[in-house]
Amino acid sequence: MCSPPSSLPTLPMHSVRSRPSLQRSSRAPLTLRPSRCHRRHRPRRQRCPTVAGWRGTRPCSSRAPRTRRTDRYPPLSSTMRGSSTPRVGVEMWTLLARTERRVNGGTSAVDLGLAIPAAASNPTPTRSGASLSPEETYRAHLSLCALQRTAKLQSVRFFGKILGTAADYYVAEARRAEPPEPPEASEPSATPAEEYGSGCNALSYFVTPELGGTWEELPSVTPEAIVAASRTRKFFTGSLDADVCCFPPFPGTERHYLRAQLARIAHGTTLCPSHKYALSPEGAVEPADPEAEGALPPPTSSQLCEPASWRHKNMGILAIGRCTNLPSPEEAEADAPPPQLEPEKPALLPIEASDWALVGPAALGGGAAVVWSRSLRWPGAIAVSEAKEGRYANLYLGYGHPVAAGPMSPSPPPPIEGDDPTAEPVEAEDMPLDDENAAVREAAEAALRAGAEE
Amino acid sequence: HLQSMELQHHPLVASAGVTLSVAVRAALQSSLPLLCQTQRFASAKLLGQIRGLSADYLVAIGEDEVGERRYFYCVDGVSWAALPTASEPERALCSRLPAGLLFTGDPSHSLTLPELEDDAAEAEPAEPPSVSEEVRLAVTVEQIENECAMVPKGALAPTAWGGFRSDPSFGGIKAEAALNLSSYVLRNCKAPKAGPMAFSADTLASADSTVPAGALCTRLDPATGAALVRSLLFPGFVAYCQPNTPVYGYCYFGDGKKNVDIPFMLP
Repeated sequence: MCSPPSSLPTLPMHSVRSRPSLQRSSRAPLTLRPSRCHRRHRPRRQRCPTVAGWRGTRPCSSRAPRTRRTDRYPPLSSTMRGSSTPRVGVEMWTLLARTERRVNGGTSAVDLGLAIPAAASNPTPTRSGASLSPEETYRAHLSLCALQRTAKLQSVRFFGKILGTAADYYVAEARRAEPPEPPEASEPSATPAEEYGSGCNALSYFVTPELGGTWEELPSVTPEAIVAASRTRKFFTGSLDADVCCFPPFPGTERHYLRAQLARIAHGTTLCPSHKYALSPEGAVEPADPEAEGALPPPTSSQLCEPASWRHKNMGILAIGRCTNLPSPEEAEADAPPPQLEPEKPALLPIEASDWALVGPAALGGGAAVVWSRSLRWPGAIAVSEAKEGRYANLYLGYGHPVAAGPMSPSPPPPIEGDDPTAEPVEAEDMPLDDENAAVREAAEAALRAGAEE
Repeated sequence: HLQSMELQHHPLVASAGVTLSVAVRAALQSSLPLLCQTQRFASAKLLGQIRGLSADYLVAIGEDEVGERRYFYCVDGVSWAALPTASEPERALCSRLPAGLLFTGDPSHSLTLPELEDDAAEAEPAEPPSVSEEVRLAVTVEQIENECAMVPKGALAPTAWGGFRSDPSFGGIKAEAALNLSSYVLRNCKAPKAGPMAFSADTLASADSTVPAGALCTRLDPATGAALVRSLLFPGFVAYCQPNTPVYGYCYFGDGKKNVDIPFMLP
């Protein structure tokens, strides 16, 4: 229909479009008008002219499909990274969390290795886990994050807890991006210490008596401190400046003793599964390439119960107190025999079966299999590995002493120095009488002259 | 009325390195009451865990209404076996064992001791004396209980038949007193000055009479507020008490070895 000319008044025209029920005002948005049915969003049923029956009036057909409650609130376990099996509570598993963080443009792996108690998903492991309480573990985690931020460390690991008489030490093992300033030049000792970044000084150690306090970095370890620490056996007091009263005297205070013991523990008890790392041609420990020839396959949990599946991650410490032998001097005489050097113990050596007690998961099977490895030489040192996901962790919780072979017998004091047996005493001769008389006469005349002049 | 550790107090001692896995705790929650029921005990509590090479022994103490205590051990936390009572010859044999020997984890394992070299020519070659691991465990548990077990002073009340039981009106000790060793008494040691007619709990030896002095170190755990007393003579022994509450107890988680080097190791 054509519209009439605008000059004439328009009369409402009745058409299908102008029916009130289908009309909509131009101001209101296009919405479906709610029906008058008692069910709110369910439109009235309408007879379908084509299909016999009621027109498709499924409730809520125009809305989004209804979601299930479990999809809207997924269980906590599935949101945890790296978990494939459902876990019962976060406190049961502590995470070997690897969070990649961008620090100054480069990626740095903040390795927060914490204690791993027995997994809840592992049914009835019979051995008790060694760990701190869940709250203490969390506090350690926060403290390590703070340490990493303030000290700008490349990677940090929770080493463990050394128990003391007055206070305990929480220990963190860290890798620095840049070496610290070398200490002031002290007296040169017979055996020079290893440079920072190699051998016993490859990593730095931070300790704190309280998790909420500040972490203090321990100085680099010297070979004489390690040798002296292997001869003494003292409890730690909890204050780093305390004296270590022992015989032979310890060269340093408690902080040097603590650092030496930490070096011995770290180099003797840090384990890793065999397939994880390989030695590069330069001798450095690198993550192993699974496709390289000679690469070991990831072990199953039953294979992890064998000592052959574990390796020492760090080099062993020699009797001189270093990981590496000193370079032989260049000016060696041709006649002198070469010095007897102890063979170095490189990294990734297999473990001694008699030094470690390996405990596997219970025979009930199922779930993540965790294998414990407890040191018999350093009671308190624990290595844990999970076969399925290839994770591992090391922890030390103890007093900081190895097992002694027998009751301690301190070394006796050195023998008292006697006279030199070769030299005989020589009697001094007396002055002859005339000379003595002349000396007395001269002294008397000098005194007389001095008295006369006054 | 027992004073060794209750399972719900486990978080109080966790800062000393003492942990029980969830599976073990779950097993103990059902097996200890069952032990009470079958053996007609008034209470059964966990003493702790003694570590061995291939397995660890959980040790529990059951006490009946009269005050008699019996010790039980198990490996898995489910089925308990009674520990034998050690006799004097067996205690003497165990004291001759080398100091560094760990438990193996097999209760039937027996250790053979070298013979003494006196009158070897005259006497017939008798069998070398041997001691089984069960007996050795019994002797160790007895040694720990007699030398270490401590409770706060005032927590025990004498009973009519000469023993001691926990005092129901014990309200707890103050926080400053909890760090003082004189506020603790050794539960199984009589003080030397106690006469035969003394009935009160003052007849028990005070904890600061342990030899050597300095073998016990006290600590206030800032997280839980509990006072912990750790023994350096038996590393792994922890006595705990929550100040101003009647919560107290002790437990042992360790190798079972006495630290004989302690005179040299004390600072």
